[in-house]
Amino acid sequence: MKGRYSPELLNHFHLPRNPWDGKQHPGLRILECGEPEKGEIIVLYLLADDQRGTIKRCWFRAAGSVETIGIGSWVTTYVPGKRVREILENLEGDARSALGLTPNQWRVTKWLARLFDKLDEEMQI
Amino acid sequence: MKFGQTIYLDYNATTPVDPRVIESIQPWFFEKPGNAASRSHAMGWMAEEAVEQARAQTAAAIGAKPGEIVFTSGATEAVNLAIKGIGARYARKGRHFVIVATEHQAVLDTCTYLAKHGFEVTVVDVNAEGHIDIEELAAAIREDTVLVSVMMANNETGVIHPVEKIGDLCAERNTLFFCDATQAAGKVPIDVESMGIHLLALSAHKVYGPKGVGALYVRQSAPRVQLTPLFHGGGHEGDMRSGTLNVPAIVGLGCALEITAAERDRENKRLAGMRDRLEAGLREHLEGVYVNGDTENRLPHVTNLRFLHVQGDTLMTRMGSSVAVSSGSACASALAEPSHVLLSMGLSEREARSSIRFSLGRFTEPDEIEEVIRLVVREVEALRDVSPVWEMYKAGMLD
Repeated sequence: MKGRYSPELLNHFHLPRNPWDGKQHPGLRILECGEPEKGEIIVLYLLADDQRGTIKRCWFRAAGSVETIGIGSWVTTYVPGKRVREILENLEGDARSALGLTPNQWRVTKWLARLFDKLDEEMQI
Repeated sequence: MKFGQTIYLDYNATTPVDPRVIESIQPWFFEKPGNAASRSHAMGWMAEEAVEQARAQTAAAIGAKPGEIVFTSGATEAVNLAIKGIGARYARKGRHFVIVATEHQAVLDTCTYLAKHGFEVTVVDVNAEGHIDIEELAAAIREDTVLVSVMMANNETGVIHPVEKIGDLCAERNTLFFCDATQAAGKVPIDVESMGIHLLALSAHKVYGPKGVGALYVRQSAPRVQLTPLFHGGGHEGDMRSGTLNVPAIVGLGCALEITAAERDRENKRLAGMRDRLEAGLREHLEGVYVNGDTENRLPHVTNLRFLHVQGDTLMTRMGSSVAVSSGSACASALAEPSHVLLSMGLSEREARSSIRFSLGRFTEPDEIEEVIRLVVREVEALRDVSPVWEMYKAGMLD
């Protein structure tokens, strides 16, 4: 698979970080993105500090392609401690750099950007 | 037998060259350098004799006469020569071709090319098991049909088509029958006479021979089939395929086919046993494992399995370099294209993407099958563990 996936992406794919264990937490937000009709889904389970507009914890579940699962895992390590606005601004570029994503794989970061856009709107309200 | 760290189960893609075949080829690289077309010295005569022996071996493998074998660079060239050669030669009789939706890309793309150049192509569908309906095939044949092309066995599912019936139909309707036997050669008995085949393509690298060589059978009597050649320049191969003959590879093809024919029955039994064990082992430990295609009438060494709610490419990546298998899909786009064969059988895009082809071969051993079962079970479970789709399925929210 050399060439199709970077070692960083494969590392997250083979050793997923923060898979959601089904445990409920007060204030847990569950947000979903992807292309479900193609079997490509990332579900993020988020604990946020609404006052500060930051993410405290993040877990995930994902199905579909290697990049969907790998990026789903990576994002759980990327967002804690960050403001949602900051995530929105930097997520796509940071994911591409950190995981060596090819243009074919950018669709997954676009889903995630839309997901955080939605979260930002929710938190504004 | 492992190849490095890898259990190789992709014999439908290509086979390793049998050491006995390598031995037969070796002298023709250095010790015996003659050109088979050189008439003026013994080196040339020896090379010609070796080519003719390989021609006889190839003909014997399919019940043909040696003079009916044209050596090519492989099955793709043989397919192109058959289809384009018939199109050009018989254009005055008609410009219509009939093919099946599950044919190999070599046939589909060649026919697409012809369709852009004034020919008509009718594509006959298959059912959920991968079989054609003979009546539907008969209905597709017209007065101006010059060729019907149906592969003997499918490369992705192993499903075997009823070639004799198709041969009878073509004879009855006075049209030529081209059969791509690339995957079937060496695995099922082939007799071009009794099967009513007029043209047949095969390749060495699917039968433990070298890459870069194949053959086209062209019937020479009742009826005598004529082709317009693709290549010009010397009139080799009865004026059907010009170009210096690749003597080592041709010797390898003949040798590979002879070995395969001699060992076929015993080997088929061994392979079918391991293939069945693989299917049973996976279905015993995993929920939602389905065989794509007819499980009765298929090649003994191949199974195409669908893993519910798991993408085939993703599963293959989880297995890394431990196992070499194939999703039977092209990898050019953002997401690998789903198999046209599986889509033709009525699978959804998602189902097609969830499928993997396992093809066993001469060097596969039973303990490797047990190891593959363990690996696949472990990796499918790992993927389902983090899958929200699998969770929904288990909660009864999805089919």
